[in-house]
Amino acid sequence: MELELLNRLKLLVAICDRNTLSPIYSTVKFKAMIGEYPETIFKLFEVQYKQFSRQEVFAVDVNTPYSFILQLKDDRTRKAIKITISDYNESHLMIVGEDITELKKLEYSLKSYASIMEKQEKSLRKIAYTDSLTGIANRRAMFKRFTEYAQDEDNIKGAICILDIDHFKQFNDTYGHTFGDYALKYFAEKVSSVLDDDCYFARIGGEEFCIFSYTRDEAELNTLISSVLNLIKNCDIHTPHQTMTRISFSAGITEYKKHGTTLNELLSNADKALYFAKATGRCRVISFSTKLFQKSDDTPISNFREIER
Amino acid sequence: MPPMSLFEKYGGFTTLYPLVGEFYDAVLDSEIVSYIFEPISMNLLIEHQTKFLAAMMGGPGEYDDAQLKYAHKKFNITEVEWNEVVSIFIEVLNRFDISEDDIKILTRLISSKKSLIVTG
Repeated sequence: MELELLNRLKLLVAICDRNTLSPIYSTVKFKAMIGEYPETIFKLFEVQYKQFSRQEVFAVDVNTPYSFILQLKDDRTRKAIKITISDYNESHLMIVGEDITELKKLEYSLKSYASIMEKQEKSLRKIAYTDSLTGIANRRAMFKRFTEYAQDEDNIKGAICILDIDHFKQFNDTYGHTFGDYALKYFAEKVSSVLDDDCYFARIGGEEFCIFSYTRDEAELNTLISSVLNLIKNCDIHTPHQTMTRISFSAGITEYKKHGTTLNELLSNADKALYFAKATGRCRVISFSTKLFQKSDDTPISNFREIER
Repeated sequence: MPPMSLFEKYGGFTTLYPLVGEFYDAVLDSEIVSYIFEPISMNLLIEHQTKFLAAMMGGPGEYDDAQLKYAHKKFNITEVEWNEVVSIFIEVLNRFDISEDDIKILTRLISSKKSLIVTG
């Protein structure tokens, strides 16, 4: 009579012989979903739970129950049932099956949703730090990378270069914006192809790019950028007018610690060197120095800014 | 501001999860289509349904047509089976206080994918 009460519960319950698993008592639900004969019970466990081990069943004692989850059919629907085989008395084990379907559904659905969100977050992050036209890093990414670098006190070397494509406005005006975009992409690809892992390359403005070298000093970066300039300025590009053209750039370089410790400071000084390069004929790489700054006293910096790029 | 998606309108994941749960039970309960879903583990089926429904209701994630076509190709799904799943889907939506207009939108969306799924 007391055990009859168990039939009213959602639980599946059986008391089985410790060695054979032959049930001396089982609820109606247990019989329907798991079976009533020892071999059918064992078989079901083995089929539905690949890691099932009869040895573990025989090893069950007061302190070591054996638990696993099965997917079982209940009428037409499928249930996730957590089976726990535990010690009942000296010669018997108790098998309890608990319906955890809802819990499992929530778990799987939540996992799936979390993976979608994670994927979405990654893609948003990528969009946020990528220049959509050229596919290289953008200004935001450059600032993030620099901040990460500068936060590590062991990082004491490094140099920054601003590159600005010469006469870019003329490209747009002469050949149209589509060609202008093409030229930017071409430039980004060409420069990327010759930079090593020591350099972080980003588009930080319209036709303005930045290279951050982690280990080079200003002279070493100047050598590298000058070789990039030599490569770029000798490459022919097909224009929409069925002609060939070439692009060049002007560049300004500053050294980390020597000419500034923040990226804003370094960019501002590199910008001054860049404008000097523009003012003195373009297609050249100039390193920032205070002497340069003194020279520029003859011509105010604001005038440099008005020079057509 | 972009218009609110059905996913946001109906409470995001909070509604999506029980919807998936009911849809899962209902397809397994169908005499016509249960055989298609039975061999698929609970884990995979719930994962697939969560992703598909979230994307379809304008929530996060994407479901591209090629993927949809590839995933259903091996089942050779017939017109009768398709109709059964669509009616199960509508029935489940009705249990969730989703407005008739929005059910129509979702049904139209699903119907637009029919040619990718029905191959039998």
